[in-house]
Amino acid sequence: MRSTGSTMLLTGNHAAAYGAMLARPKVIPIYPITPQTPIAEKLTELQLQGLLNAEFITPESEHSAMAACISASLTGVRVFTATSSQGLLLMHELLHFASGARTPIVMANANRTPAIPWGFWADHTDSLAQRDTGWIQFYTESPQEALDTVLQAYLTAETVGLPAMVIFEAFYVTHCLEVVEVPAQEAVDSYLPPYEPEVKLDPEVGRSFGNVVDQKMYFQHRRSLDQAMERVFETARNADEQWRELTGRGYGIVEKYKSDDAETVLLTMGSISGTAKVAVDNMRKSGLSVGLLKVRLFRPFPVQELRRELQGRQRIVILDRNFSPGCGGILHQETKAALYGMKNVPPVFGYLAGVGGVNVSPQKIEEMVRSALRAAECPVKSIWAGDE
Amino acid sequence: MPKAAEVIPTIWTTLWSDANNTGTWRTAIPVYQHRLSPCRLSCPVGGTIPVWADKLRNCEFYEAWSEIVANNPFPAVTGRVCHHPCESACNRSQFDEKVSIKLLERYLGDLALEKGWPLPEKGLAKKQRVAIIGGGPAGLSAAYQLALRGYRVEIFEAKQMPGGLLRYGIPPYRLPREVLDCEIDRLLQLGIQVHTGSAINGAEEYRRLQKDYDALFIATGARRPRKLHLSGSDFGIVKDGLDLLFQVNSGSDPKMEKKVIVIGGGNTAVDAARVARRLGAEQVTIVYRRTEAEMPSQESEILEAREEGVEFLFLASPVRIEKEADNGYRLICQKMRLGEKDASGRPRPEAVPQAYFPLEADQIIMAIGSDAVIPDISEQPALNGSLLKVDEKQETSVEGIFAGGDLTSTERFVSSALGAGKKAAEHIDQLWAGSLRNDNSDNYGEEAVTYKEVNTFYFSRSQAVKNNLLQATERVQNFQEVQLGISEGQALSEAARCFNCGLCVQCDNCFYFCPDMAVKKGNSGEKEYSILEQYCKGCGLCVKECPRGAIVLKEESK
Amino acid sequence: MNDMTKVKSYEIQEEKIFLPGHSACPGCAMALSLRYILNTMGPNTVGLIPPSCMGPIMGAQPYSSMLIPIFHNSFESSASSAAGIKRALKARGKDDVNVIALAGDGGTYDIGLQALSSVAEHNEDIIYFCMDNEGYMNTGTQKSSSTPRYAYTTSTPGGKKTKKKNIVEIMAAHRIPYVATATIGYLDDLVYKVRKAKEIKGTRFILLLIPCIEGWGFPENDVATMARLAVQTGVFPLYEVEDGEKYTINHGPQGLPIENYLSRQRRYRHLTKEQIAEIQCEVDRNWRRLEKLASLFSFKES
Repeated sequence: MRSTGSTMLLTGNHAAAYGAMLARPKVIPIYPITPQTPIAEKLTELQLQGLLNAEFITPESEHSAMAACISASLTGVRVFTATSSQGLLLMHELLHFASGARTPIVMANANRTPAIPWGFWADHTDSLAQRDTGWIQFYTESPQEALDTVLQAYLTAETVGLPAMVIFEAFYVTHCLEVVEVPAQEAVDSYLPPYEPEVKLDPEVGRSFGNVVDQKMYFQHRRSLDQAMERVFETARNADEQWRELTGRGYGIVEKYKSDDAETVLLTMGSISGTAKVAVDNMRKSGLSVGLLKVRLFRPFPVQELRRELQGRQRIVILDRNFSPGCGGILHQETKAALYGMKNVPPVFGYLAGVGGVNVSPQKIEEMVRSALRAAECPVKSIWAGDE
Repeated sequence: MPKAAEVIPTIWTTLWSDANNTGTWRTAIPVYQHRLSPCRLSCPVGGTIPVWADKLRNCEFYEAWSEIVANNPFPAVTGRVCHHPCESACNRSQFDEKVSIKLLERYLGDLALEKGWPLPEKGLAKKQRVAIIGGGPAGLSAAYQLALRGYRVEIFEAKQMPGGLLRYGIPPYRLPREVLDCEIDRLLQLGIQVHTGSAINGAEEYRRLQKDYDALFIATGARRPRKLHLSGSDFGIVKDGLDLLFQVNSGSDPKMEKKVIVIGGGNTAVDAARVARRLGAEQVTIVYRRTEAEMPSQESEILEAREEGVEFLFLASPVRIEKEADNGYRLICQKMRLGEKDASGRPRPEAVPQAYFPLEADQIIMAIGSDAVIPDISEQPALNGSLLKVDEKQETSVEGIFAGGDLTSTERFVSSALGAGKKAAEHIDQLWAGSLRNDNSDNYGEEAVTYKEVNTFYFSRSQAVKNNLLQATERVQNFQEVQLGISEGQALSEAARCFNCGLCVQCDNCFYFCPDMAVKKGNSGEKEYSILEQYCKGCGLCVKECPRGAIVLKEESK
Repeated sequence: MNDMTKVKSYEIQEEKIFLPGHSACPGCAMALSLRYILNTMGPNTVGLIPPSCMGPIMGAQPYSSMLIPIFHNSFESSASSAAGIKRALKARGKDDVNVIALAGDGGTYDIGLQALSSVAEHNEDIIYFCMDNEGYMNTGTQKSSSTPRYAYTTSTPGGKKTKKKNIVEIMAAHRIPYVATATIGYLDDLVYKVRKAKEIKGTRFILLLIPCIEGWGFPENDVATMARLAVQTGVFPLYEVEDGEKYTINHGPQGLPIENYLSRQRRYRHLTKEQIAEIQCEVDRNWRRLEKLASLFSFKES
């Protein structure tokens, strides 16, 4: 056991692995897929080193991996898994299953472009396309944040009884090396209590799970799922606060960067946020009143936070590293819906920047902001980057 | 922070399905029913074969024998001479071979004699007196059943000893005297009085009996041999078969010639032939006008006769007796052929014109049947052909006078006589006791269990036990019993072959095969079964898997 | 050999694991099989049921017909979910708890085969019971890859053109410790196999033939007879394969022509003489092959 914290040079994958290790999962069903494979590799290494004591299952597909996660979680143990794009999509049926079953599974997802065409590039479409499945979603931008969020995700998930995804991008985060503070096991133990639900699959408990229900029962069930989702805001905030107290690091559910007095506010998710912060600094130097909000908790969508923060702004510029055909940028769409009915709602520009993993430079971001500032009208549709 | 468990909604089960009464689904429900079996239906005394076979299989020897003697006081006798319609009806014969029920009955009969088991006690004494005329099987059976019910019974037997054809008709090599005597004596222990040498003749005597007794049962048999008037009968070589048997069975040692012809096809004919062999005849031929298939005699008798050197000549009929030049005789016979079926259901024998042939003979024995002598119970008692007529209560046209056996029936079988006596006794009892007290108080259902209702998966094919016989060459030397019976081990394994049609033997199959656990076994060692009505869906799997049709599905009206 | 007038006792722990009041069709062979499986496995068991006839038998919320906990997994994941439960129990120090999957043929031969193969390759410590009624019966008799050739289903109204998959050989090829076939027509044999499987560690697979009253078309009191006919005609021999190699034949065909089996089922009513002959040929060939396999290794018992 690691009794003292340490500072290591870690990739995003390995940082997530260390986060998982510290959470002491008992069962890890996991299937490899580029770019997530180092997560499983690191976890097995840690097990061999005696730092982890888990039952590893290596099923034949991600679908089976998620199936094992759900059933193991219902048997009353903490589980962990990780996947990416194709694997996540293959799990889709069971993602609904997991949230319906109220299993507090934590899964790391490496954002990768879904086929066809084949690619391994950073794009949030894979996890955003799961936004209706009832999973809590955290979008992180760095190896450190990934590690920290894994633990926060467990605490949040196990408190409200919903599964959670900790999401970071292919290569930009998964393979990016960074100095990471890995907390001591004892510290994490004081933060995250053991997972010991009373009701579980066990002959001593005797109850069965998952029978067919009638319409009214189903309605009720969905409603209580909604209630659980509502509790996530406060729970996630508290989890983040406690983590800050423990480690000095906190992120909020929406991170603010020089946005308090900004007339124009950029909204981003994921690693593009770092680049956008540079762009914000540049633009501010040239006299533009610009700030940034990084959406970290995407599900449940932080409606109240955004309505509060975006009240009275001149312009909102949203950068989407994803694309939903027939709809446009997903953050764009969700934000507009969140702001609907607000008095003096500012025009919300959405840019499809970074779709397919294309590089988005600070200059590019600046161009998009300036274009938005110049525009006479705000288009309803999301704008493909380059068309501005 | 609240624990996750508190917020889990009710998608975990909390109740159990046994609150759901699936019994409302069904339209029929299984009912356990002790049903009739074909063997029992065919038995003239109503023998409950599956019941006693089950007891025998479980080594409950006394209980098995007790079950038999409720209906038949002479199992050691019938176990030797009965024509076993039960075996012909046995469902098992459609699977591999019939169960050798007769051998089992004999085994138990002999065992009882060995152990000295008494018959059930006489019932509570009643005031009525019944006279029985004729101490043969019918009369003895009637006496038995009446005594069991408490009546005072007196038998009037013409001959010196009771037994009728059992004693005087069946030779000792088929029915040893000790066996017969033991079983009759055991019966008479019930306090039945027998007046031997007391023939009842004439209307006067019958009227006196009617006055002195509350009911009469007449079973005087068919003791008048039929005669065939052949030209040449006065040569003196013709003897009556029944007379021959009577002589032999009375202990005398009649002379027998060397070349003997026996005319006839029934048991009397075959017995006469075998007796002739034992008395020294060297060549014995049975001449019968039909073929072997139509012979009324039992198959085993024919087989044993053949083994003992008796020859058979079929489709031949005697015409006349002629004297030969050298003091010998010959019988001229005519060839016969089979024609249409006659009243007895057998093909009518038709003479083939001009087809005569001679047979050498020193002695000719006639055994072509016998007729009843109608008793003078009234001016004109109702007749059934040449027999005394009785209704289904065995009552004659004279009130209070019952009859049975060969006197009233063409079924010349021992068991039929026993059955008739039993039936008459039951109906006589009804005259005074009111309701018909017999063993039909249970609901047996309408039909006997058929072979289709037996689930043969639960049985493996095996051969029926065969009787042990004396060597044929040994047999003709004397009158020793030919059929030796079977051992205890053979009896137990043969009893195990009985399907027990219609009788629940607690094999638990119904319990094992219910998908709804709706068959309950009794509590505290008592192995009855009950159907849980709130769950039974009426699928009938228990009925199908009952190896012996002891459960039926009954429609339920809602 | 004496007559079996008494059936052997199975020492069923009194009937409290599987409760009456369940929604199986009257006379259902699956319910009957379940009775013996559950009572032999005992109360220290967790079961899994995918979408199948087992669903209604198990119950609708909030009722359960089984005293052991049952998890209703998704259709394709019976095996993988079972592995998850077993590993979780092991992690909780409860390795003695039996984990059994009760899947249909659809969830085994078709959509669940992938997960099952993986679990078998891992030799996960579970017993997988395939309740094979040769079709998707719960949804109204559609074909599965377990449906035999020429059988009518609603998705093969002219008779299925392809042969039934041999799942026993597939599982045996994984070299798992125990594979067996069983059916309720032979209760002794079924219970013997469940008991034997219970004592073995690793992946155990038992294929149960479940004659389906509705789907195959025969009277509701005939399930045991139909199961026996399947064995006696050679369609479904009862045998075991241990470690993928040791074949033991328990009950083989008794020379009964296949017509005795086919003619009693509505799903075969349309068969031509040629088709019947083909089926007979196939059954005979499969049996000869099985006999050869059994004799290949020196441990054959009879």
